[in-house]
Amino acid sequence: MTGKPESFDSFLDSLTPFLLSELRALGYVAPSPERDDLLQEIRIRIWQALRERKGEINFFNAYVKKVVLSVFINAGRKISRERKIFDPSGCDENRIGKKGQDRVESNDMLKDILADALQSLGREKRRVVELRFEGFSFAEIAQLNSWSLRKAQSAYYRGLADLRDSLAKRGIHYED
Amino acid sequence: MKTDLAGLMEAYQAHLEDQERGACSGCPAPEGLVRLLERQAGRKERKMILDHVAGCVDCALLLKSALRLSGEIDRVLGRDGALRIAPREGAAAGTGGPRFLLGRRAAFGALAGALGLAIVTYSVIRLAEKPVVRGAAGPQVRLISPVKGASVPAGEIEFLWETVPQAARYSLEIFNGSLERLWRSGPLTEVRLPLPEDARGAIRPGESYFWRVTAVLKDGQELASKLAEFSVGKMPA
Repeated sequence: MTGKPESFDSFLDSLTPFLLSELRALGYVAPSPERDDLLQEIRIRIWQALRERKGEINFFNAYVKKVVLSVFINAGRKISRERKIFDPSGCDENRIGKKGQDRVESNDMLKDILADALQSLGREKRRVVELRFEGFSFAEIAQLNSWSLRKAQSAYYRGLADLRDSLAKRGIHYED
Repeated sequence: MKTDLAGLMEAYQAHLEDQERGACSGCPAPEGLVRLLERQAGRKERKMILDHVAGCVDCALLLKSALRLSGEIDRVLGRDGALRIAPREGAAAGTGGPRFLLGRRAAFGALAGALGLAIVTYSVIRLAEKPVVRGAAGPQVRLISPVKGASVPAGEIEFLWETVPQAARYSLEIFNGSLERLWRSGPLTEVRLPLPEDARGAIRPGESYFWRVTAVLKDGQELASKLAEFSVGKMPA
């Protein structure tokens, strides 16, 4: 298990810019000390596990990945909680205000009808269509559902066809 | 009333924003999201989490971000091979200057990135102020391929559209799944464009994108096509 001392640290060094950039995209604006805490938490969790298991962790790469994801998700949740405390209205300009600036204002009526029409879809189709509307790619939807890319695309297009029918019944005509 | 895919996506985002202003509760535990990402969640748990994510802006953003991070971890681990473990002296205790140097470098990088993003956003807003006619009677820009969710290998992507008789020039734009613009061409005189080298960096196999063409007529009027979706096929192993 032990060997060249730089391996784990060089992995963290390689990952750090990406990790911080993703956190920043979620609204993380704190200065450097807390960012350092995040990396230290990853290190401490790994060292604790190594100490408890006397330096032997099976599938070490997978374990490290799990720890990094877990620390990242916890930090993301913390950002979200803090944002809600400081901005209970949920109107964070960094996240949703952008849409208001560079996208056309959505029609309130369409919004309500769409929400209603989505309810009429089957659960699986609705979930895939909603995930796609939230910006998940087909590859991501496939990965999250443990599906092939083809199945994710097929489920989406079938859902979209049903949604088109449902919208048509409500007076909205969807065009490709 | 008529709408298209972009309209539906905008309406859904607006619907979620309304929901977020209300109470958003029952977000899955972090451990559940990690299990989902690691494909260790059971079928029932997976469906429950995804049902929630599909209607929760916070969880969707976090999950998308975590998916990207997961891919990056795989990339780094794939490059470096099996990790070896030995603590750097004092690392766990939080000492060691190089950490802060790295932080500064990352901060400069982020600042440069934020500046770039601000310039792009400003350009998009400026562009949006130009009058663009869509769906009006008269000439239209019709996209020929790729359309209707076609899946095309990255090396074979070629955009093709119908000639607009009065057009002086065209421009082509590529958007990601969230309709954020990734690339825009300069003035084009042909109605065919193979994916240029400088746009390839923005395109990833397995992902879906939208594209559209704007024709600039001789009198200065602009006509934009509808958005067409296409997927980029994975490279053969």
